[in-house]
Amino acid sequence: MSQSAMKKQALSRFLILAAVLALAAFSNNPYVINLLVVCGLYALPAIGLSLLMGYTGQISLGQSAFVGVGAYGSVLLAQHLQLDPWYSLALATALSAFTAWSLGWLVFRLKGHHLAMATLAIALILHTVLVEWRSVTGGPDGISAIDPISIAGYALLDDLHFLPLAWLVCYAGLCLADYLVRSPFGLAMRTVSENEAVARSLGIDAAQVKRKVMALSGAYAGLGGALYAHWIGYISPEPFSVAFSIKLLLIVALGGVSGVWNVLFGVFIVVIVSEWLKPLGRLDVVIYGLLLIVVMIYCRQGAVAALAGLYRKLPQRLRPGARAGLKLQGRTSA
Amino acid sequence: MNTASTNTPVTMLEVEGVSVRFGGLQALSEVGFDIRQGEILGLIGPNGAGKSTLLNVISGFVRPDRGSVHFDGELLTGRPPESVNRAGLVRTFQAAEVLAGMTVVENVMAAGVARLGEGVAGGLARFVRAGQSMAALYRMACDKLDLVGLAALANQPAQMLTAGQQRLLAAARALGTEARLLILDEPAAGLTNDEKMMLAAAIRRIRASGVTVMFVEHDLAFVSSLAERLVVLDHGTVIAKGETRKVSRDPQVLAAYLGETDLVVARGRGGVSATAAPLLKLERAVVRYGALQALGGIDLEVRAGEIVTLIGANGAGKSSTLKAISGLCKLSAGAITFDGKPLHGLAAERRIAAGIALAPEGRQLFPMLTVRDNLMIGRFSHIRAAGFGNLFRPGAAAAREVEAAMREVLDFFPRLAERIDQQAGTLSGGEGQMVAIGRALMSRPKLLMLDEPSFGLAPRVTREILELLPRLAERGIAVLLVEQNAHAALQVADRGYVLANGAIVAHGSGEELLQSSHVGEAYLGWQHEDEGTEVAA
Amino acid sequence: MTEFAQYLISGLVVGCIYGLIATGFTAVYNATHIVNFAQGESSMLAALCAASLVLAGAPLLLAIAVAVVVVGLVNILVERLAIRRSGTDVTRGIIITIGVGIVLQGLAALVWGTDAQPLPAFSGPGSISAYGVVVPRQALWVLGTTAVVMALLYLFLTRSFLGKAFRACAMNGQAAALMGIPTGLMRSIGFLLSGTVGAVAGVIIAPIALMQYDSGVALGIKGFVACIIGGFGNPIGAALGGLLLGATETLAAGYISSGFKNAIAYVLLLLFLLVRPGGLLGEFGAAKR
Repeated sequence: MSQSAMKKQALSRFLILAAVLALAAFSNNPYVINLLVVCGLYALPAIGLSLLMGYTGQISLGQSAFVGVGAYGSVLLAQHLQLDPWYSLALATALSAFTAWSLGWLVFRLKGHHLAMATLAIALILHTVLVEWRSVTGGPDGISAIDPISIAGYALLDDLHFLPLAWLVCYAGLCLADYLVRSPFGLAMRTVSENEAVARSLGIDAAQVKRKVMALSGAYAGLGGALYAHWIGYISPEPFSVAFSIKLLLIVALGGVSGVWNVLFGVFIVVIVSEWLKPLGRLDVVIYGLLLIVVMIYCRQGAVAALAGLYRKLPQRLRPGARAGLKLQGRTSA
Repeated sequence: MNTASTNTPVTMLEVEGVSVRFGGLQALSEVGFDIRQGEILGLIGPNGAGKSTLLNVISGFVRPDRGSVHFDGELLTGRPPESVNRAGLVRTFQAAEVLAGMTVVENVMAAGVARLGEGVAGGLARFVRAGQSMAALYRMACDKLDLVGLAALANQPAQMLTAGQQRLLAAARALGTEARLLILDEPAAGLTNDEKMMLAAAIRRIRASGVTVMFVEHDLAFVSSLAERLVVLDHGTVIAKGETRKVSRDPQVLAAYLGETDLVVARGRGGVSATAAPLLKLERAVVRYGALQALGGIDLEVRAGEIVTLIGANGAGKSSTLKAISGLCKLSAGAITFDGKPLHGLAAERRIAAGIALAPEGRQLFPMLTVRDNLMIGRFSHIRAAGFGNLFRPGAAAAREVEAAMREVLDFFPRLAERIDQQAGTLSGGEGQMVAIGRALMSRPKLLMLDEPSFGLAPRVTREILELLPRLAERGIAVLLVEQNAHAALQVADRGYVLANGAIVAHGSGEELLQSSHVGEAYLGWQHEDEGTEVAA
Repeated sequence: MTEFAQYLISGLVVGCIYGLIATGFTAVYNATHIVNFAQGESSMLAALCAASLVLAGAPLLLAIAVAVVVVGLVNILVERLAIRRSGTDVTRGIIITIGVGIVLQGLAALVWGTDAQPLPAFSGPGSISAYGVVVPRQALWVLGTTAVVMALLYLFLTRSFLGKAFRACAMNGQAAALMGIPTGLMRSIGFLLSGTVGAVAGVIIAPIALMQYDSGVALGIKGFVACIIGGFGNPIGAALGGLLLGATETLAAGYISSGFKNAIAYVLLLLFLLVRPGGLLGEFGAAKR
């Protein structure tokens, strides 16, 4: 795709997103707005995981750990060093990236099952530390009274005010990731994902590529976690458990690897469908698990690609209106 | 500017005293040779000679125990593959290994990334520049694709390419790293003759563009038409090197490929009447693996009590023939009849019950089971057929049959009786081969197929194993023997078929083929095809 | 000294459970080359099944037997419906088994709710004390049952023809198929074995450690750690790794801090993966050739 076409596409996506968000904001439905903020914040660590797992082929069950590092890091930095949340946000993101990069030196000596288990162990260890290191993390009760983020002295206290910020960051994150996978480095990532020996024979330092992507993925996760902490104003170890890692895995698997923007599809499904499923009580988890299995068995390129394939099979006259078509094709034409 | 005929050759790559040991196997010992700037060098040798290990040492994937590799005076030994590549040397892989999830042009673009030296920051922050570098990579990739003749397919998905195109793509991708030395690992394996000619033309164009080429190949016709110099490897040592013309006449090289083992075989057994109905019959059998055609419609017959050998260079289609008969791979066209019935649609395990047994290449024993258990497993399908309960502890009837079959095998290989409670992994190579054959015999087959039984064995042991085969034939078992050691195989066989490129190029009695002065050429394909057809005629 | 002995005994009891679960991982891995991330759910399901059956008035032994058989069958079903279709891709296999775990957990929560389901101790709630070391009676059941199950498994794998065929398939699947051993059947056997062994682990520990819908996750991970310590795919290593892990955990919890007890297993996991990925006894596959 040419440079100008890419810019056009990015702009049109921005406008569509802005329109959807504005619509939601005007509806003034606090429930919908709240969900949309959650979506934006979920999307960030999911983009990171998509880069690592989808494009570089390295499985990780430890993404929740870096979200936790970002959240606790930012809060602790802000409280102990009396930093403005903006600075603590940036520092925590860097801290999370650095942690991920350092762990990359260790875990990327492993592959496959062993890599999955090692990253799982990291997530579990971090969770234990968050629960047990009471003097610093507040233990299971967590930390409350977290300063909100403020812009020009105006604190973003309620969901409606936080919504644009969350989605602006998310949009920037998506654009950056999208550029990255289309850049030469993105080619290196995909080569490592497909065949490490070939990558190395072509002069690509596979281990270094993996560590860099791991660091970037950690940065996305850390930023998401930090934003979450300052938005919700209270953190405990619970949201940063392995269950969250698995949710992120589901998001990436649903979206597939045909484009970074597919992550949004996965996020919407996971966040919104789980809301729909709430009245069903415990059944929601079962449906999740089944969804994960079915997608993995039948839609190996992700649900988006599968849906797009079905859509293309539809006779012309049965296809829904132009706008829906535009959205679908936009997502799959990466 | 770099032609091979310059008067003073400049050494580009120098390999000195390289030795590699894997466990008990000395894969390479004291290997030394050089590659001169601007030449096309062929590396040949029979299966298991150590060619792949040598490539892995040169390209940094395997670290040698001793010895060194210098490239343009720079020491490469001990450097990781990516660093070796950045020094200006690139290799391809046996299976071409195209990146199936990418387009053709992206495959080649990926090769230029490392030289661009642009990391995450470049990709993330400088949107404009990233676009420019992608455009530059695209132009570079198109140039390389043009060189190998794939430019028209640039935007196709790489997985749509034929086997031949995939090899060309692998070469183009390698060139994308701007390396000065290109090392191709079996670039012609599985290609049709037309594709081979295209490949050879592409390699000549690559050399003309100033890149030095070394390649490993089994198709010696292809090698002799392309390489200016040869290095011949056998059992991990260099047995000959020099100009292609000279090396190809070296009797040592011929012996390395055909084997020299002489057997003492009691010939003139009861004899098999040539008119007897064949037990096994292949008619125009075709086998394809994806884009690759392994067998191109062969006809073959084996009668009860007959030893038939199938010889040919690596990749000629010998193993594919055995796999097709045993049901491990499907026929794409043609038919196989066994004992008067078509085998089509019969699953592999049912074929064992029908009387077909295979002692596979590399023996494939169950190393941690005892010899007795290995043999018993050979009777699995019969025990299973006697009822599921027999699987826990074979019932009286099944046990008797196992006992009888076991006694036959142990009578045949008395040495195994002494080792019966030893773990199969602790046996010597020859004993292991006896277990592999014995395991196949446990199902009391009508047809016994042996895939490279002499592989990795000393000549004395090879003799011992092969000399046993006539005794099997005397019992009425049909034996189909695939052997790289053609010399020995033809001595023991009643009849032989010579395979090349998935087709039968010669056929006759063992003695005829053995005495034919052409068989070496037909088999190796040193000179050109016309002589091979003479034998077939 | 008494304190040490007390910790050690409790550690060995827990270690038996880890060892059994680790053996389950081994059975599945050897048959399918998949690490079953839903392994722990077998133990959870069996414990809850047995508890319900007892509550419904079934005799304890019958309830346990039925629960173990049911879980074995569930495992076969899971292999047929989900695992067999996953192909050879490692990542996909991992995600699918995670999905299976989620489904089983969710179903358990639906059926039994989120409260722990008590299972009575096999021979009453009392304890036995000797030399100042107090051991609950159930602990003896755990030690005894583990010994019996391991012995039976050993006999099956080394003495029965089917067991030998199973091992042959694990050593060299291609050659096994060539001998006519149906790989599908061996996969089912692998899952049946792993489900049964895991189920036994679940029912014998349930009277000591309360089991609820999400107890399987932790058990599964600990079982995996035991596998890695012992050497993956190596059944003897699995048992040994379980005992070592159990003892280390309890001793560390007793002498250092109980809060970080769980983290010890995970740190051990990381250490072994990075420093000695073959485990103490070496990977099973490494013995090939």
